[in-house]
Amino acid sequence: MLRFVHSSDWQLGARFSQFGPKAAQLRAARIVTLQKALDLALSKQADAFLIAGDLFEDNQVDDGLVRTVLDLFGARSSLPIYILPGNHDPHTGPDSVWQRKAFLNAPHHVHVLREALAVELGNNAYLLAAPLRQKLSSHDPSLKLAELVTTVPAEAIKIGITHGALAIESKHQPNDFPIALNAASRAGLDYLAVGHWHNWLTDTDSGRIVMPGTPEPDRFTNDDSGHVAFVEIDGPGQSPRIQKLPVATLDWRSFSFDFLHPEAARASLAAALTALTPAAYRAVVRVTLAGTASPAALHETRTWLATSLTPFLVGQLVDETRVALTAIELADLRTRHPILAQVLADIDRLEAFAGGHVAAVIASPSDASLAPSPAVTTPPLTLAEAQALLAPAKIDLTQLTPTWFAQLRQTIFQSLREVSP
Amino acid sequence: MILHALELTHVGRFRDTVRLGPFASGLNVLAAPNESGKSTALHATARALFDRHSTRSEEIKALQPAGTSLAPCVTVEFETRQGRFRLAKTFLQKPESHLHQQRSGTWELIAEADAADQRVQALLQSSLPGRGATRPEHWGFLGFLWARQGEPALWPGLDDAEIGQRIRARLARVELDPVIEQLRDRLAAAAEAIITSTGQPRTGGPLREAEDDLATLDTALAEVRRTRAELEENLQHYQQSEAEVARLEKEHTERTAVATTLRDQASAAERLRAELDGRLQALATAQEKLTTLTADAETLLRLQREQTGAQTALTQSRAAAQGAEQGLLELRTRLDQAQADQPPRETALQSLRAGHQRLQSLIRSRQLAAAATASVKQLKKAETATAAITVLEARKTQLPALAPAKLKKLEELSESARDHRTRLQALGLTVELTPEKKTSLENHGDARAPQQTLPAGKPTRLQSPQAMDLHLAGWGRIVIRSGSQEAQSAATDLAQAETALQEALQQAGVPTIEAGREAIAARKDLETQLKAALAALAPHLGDHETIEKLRQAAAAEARRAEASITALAPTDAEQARSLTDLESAEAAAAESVSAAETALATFNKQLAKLRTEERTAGQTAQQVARQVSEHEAALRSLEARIKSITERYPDSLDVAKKTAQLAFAQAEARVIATKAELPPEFEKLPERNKRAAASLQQITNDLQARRTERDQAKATLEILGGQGLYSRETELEEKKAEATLRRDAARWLGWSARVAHDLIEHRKQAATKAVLAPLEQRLTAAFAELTGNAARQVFLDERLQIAGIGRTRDEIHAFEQLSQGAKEQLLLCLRLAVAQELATDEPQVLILDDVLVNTDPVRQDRILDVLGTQAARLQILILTCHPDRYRGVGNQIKIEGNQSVEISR
Repeated sequence: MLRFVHSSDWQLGARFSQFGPKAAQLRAARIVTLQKALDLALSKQADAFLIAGDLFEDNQVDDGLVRTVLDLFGARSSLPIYILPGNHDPHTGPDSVWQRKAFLNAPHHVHVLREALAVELGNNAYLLAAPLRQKLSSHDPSLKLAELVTTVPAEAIKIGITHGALAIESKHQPNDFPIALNAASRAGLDYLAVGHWHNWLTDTDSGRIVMPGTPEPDRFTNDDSGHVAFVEIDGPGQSPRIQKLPVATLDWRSFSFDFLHPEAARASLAAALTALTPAAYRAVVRVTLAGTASPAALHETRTWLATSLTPFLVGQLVDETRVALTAIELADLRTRHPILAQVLADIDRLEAFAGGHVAAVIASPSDASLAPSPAVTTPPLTLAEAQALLAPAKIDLTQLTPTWFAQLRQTIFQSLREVSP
Repeated sequence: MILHALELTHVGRFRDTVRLGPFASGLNVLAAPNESGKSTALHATARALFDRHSTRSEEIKALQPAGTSLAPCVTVEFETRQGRFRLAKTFLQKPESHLHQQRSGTWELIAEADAADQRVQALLQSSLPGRGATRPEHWGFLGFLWARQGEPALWPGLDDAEIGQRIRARLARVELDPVIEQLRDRLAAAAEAIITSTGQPRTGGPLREAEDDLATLDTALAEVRRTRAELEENLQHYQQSEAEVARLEKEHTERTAVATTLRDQASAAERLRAELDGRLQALATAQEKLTTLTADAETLLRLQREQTGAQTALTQSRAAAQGAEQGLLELRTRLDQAQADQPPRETALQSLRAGHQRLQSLIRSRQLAAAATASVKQLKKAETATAAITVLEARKTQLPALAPAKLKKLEELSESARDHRTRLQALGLTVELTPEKKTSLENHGDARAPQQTLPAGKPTRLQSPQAMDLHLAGWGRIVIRSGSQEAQSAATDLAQAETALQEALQQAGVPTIEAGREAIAARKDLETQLKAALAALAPHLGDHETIEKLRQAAAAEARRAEASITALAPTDAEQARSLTDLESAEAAAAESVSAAETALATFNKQLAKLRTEERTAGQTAQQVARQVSEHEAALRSLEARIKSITERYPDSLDVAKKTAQLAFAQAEARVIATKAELPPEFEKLPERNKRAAASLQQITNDLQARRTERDQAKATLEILGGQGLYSRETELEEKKAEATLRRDAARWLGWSARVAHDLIEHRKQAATKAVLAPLEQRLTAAFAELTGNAARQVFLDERLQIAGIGRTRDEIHAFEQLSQGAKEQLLLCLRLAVAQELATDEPQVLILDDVLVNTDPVRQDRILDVLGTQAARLQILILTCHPDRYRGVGNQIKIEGNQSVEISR
């Protein structure tokens, strides 16, 4: 029987620009996950650890990362490791990471499959490799496997390894190494280890083609990532038994808070955050605020979230809210600060000129008691006045986005709160 | 605040104590001449109210009486809404400050020293400068309500001070929302911390920092990307080199095999070639021998034919030589005969020519004589004309050399003497004698007319400068003397003038001026005649410049004519012949000479032709003789050559030829056999071998070069690939994303604060604008009342400054361009409006310190009407040095010396 761990798309050294200073921590987590996966393979007494492409994010990762990876591999010398160059780290030539001295002098148990070849794995098994030598191609790399099959004994277990997109209709690009959906059976393989997409995918070619996805999630939308495949094959022609082993270090969670039902949203979010808190050190959390609310409510919620998200490794707040006054608030403002009421109306006009949607008063404006007082009926801001207003500071009306107008209103209310608590 | 009373001691001209007051609540007029101290009193009041008692500024020292070090003391009684107060301050020496408040009819001390100063400051809402004396902008509302002497057209900016803001708000009834003000200030501060007024990032602010960071990161990223691009390029280059190397290696292998094959073939062909060359050489030798034999046989046959021909030619040429000799002899005979006839013909021609020349010489001699005669005649005429010219010039020299300018001078002198005479006659003695009977008179004083006869009954006038010494016959002597100095002087002048005139006439050489005029006229006439005579002489001189040259020319012609006659020595018969005869004879002689010359020329031509024919015949005979010799020589040569050929072949020429033909055939057969062994196109093999070797070498060189390129590219790739460019780029991209967020956040915040601030300002100004119209209407009404002209409106700007006056806003006369009077009146209207507004809270004083100096009397009345109306609500204090303008107006206050003064109501 042959046992091996099939992984892919580690993409060590990946970039996380949207997380600023936390990016390095996210990258470091992937090393921890690799360590975990290697140890898992050892614990399962695997005959091999396969990496089906994209071990690195790019051929030009720094030497420090390469040494770290090789140190991890080197510390587990009883585990044969087979690395296939993918589309992120293709074996293009002397510039390739696989031509670094570290890999050229890699430990004996670390095998970089730079050429299309067949390697004996032991246990009557052969690994047939079709590595990538460029970033894009419309050529099916699995075709090479069909040629390699003829070079190994027919009665051996044949494991193919390559990298590319499964040629599923409307799910792949023509120049993205399209792999036929029957690539395994076409080549007479018992198992085809594929890498490229980041979510777990099986049930292709009678379960002989497996894409384990990235072992460490790298975005909020990878719903089924964070795994490696543990595969057992009893003999040639036998169906493989596949286990989906979770290895992810970080927990990526995305929540939304809609001011349509603020109390319920808050309660739900609070509960979710509380549940995550014990493992906050490895949680990557994003909360999206949406809807329309009064300044006070917005301020209060933002303040609460700023505190609540602090414990997490990454706490990202995406604010898509819009501030609007209730009718009562607006009437009060008109009474106490008529000029400010006019200013808010001017902002609405400004936003309309800029092509944005203007936030409406929350309550119905038909209430007579809330009608504006005659003293503050002033002509609305004209486009010429708006442009003249913005011109001295060289502010272009077309550059003003709805987000900015939200911030403008927020700035006013925040400053108002500060001068009249 | 209003004033009730003032008390001054040691202030300005007031050495003793002066009290002004009490002031009424309405209109108060303080009328006094200039320098009477009225403005000083008000200035001292202001110093007391607004300056610290401990101040020692120059403005305080200026309050001291001149030349003293007395301490100014000022006491002011004033009232605010907080009550009635009395402030007493002493400056400079032992400064003091005491503030009393009137409570229940008594004055209670409520503060002293600095506390008093501060209390007053609070009451009057004034402020203090950091150092030095206060200025009107520190005086609270009074700063606006006091139009100071000499500064009536100034209006402090309302924007700068808090008081100004409040006044503006009061005037425009704009709500002052302290919260909005604070909000606006906070927003302004927030914006200014990030962006400048022109929207640029503030140096040191978060936006500038973020932009600077982004710029630095972009630079670093560009460098990393450039290196990655270089790596990509190198990779492509490497891949191309790799492919090229593979192709070249394959080609190299193929070409090596081809080159080897060719080389072997070339070597084999080379050997066969050498053998063939030897056999070809033998064939060539046999062929050459055969060719020589064949040529000798042909030559022998040809020589024999030529020998026969040469014999025939010799015979013919000998016959031709004989004939040529005969012809030559005949021609020589004829030539001799012609040469004998030539000399007589030439002699005859010479004789004809001599006769012709004689006739020509005679004609020329006659012509020379005629020319000499004509020259003599011309000379005579020229001499006559010259004599006339000489006479004229002699007459001219006899005339005096008087120029017109000199004549003019003489006339002037004569005129001058005449004038003197006339003057003297006027000044001198004039005696008119009318004798009853004829008598004689002796005038001893007149040298020119010492004696004259006086007719009876007719007056005779006698004149003398000064004295007359007369002797009337039958009567006696009369001596008359004049004491006139002028006459004496005139006489002297006359004598001098007459003397000068005489001297001038002498110099000119004329006795009188009339004679001078005549001399000038005569000279002019002579010059005209001279000009005519010279014109008459010119044709006679002809080409000769002078008569002497003409004389010389005539003499020369005469000599030539004489010499010609002497040389010819004509005979009598020749002399007797006329010129016409001579010319006819000369023409005939010329024709004879011409005919004789033509005949001689024809004869000479015939003679020359004979000579030519003789010469040609001689040459022909010589040529024929040469041909005979040549033919003989050729025959001899042919015979010798035939002999030489036949001697080379002892066995006969035919036998030798047959032997050579056999040898040639054998050599040819051997060559054919060798050629058959050579491979096809063997002659191209060396060149092909050479080309193949060169091609192989070229490919080897290219392969080496491409391998080197590939290896270099590989080395570069290994170096660049190991630099971790992606990781570096990642780090920079992440930093850039963070910096971008900071920049956007800062910019958004800056813009938000700025726009919010500007919107608030916009609305505030809009609110102000909304109330401009009512305020302008009030001011317009007040100004119309002042000026009596309701057609003009007063316009304000957004800052409530007076923009100007006019019918419409677009056609206003700007405030700065108005007359001083108009400015004074407008500011008075605005001050009145301000005072009215402030008076709603507490009583206000409006001080007009001689500010209507540029207002005419008509308008003055109107102003007084307005002030009278306003006095019901305000306390108005007018200081003036024109008491006449304010008679009967309000409460009259006077300052008279250092005394207490009372108000006259």
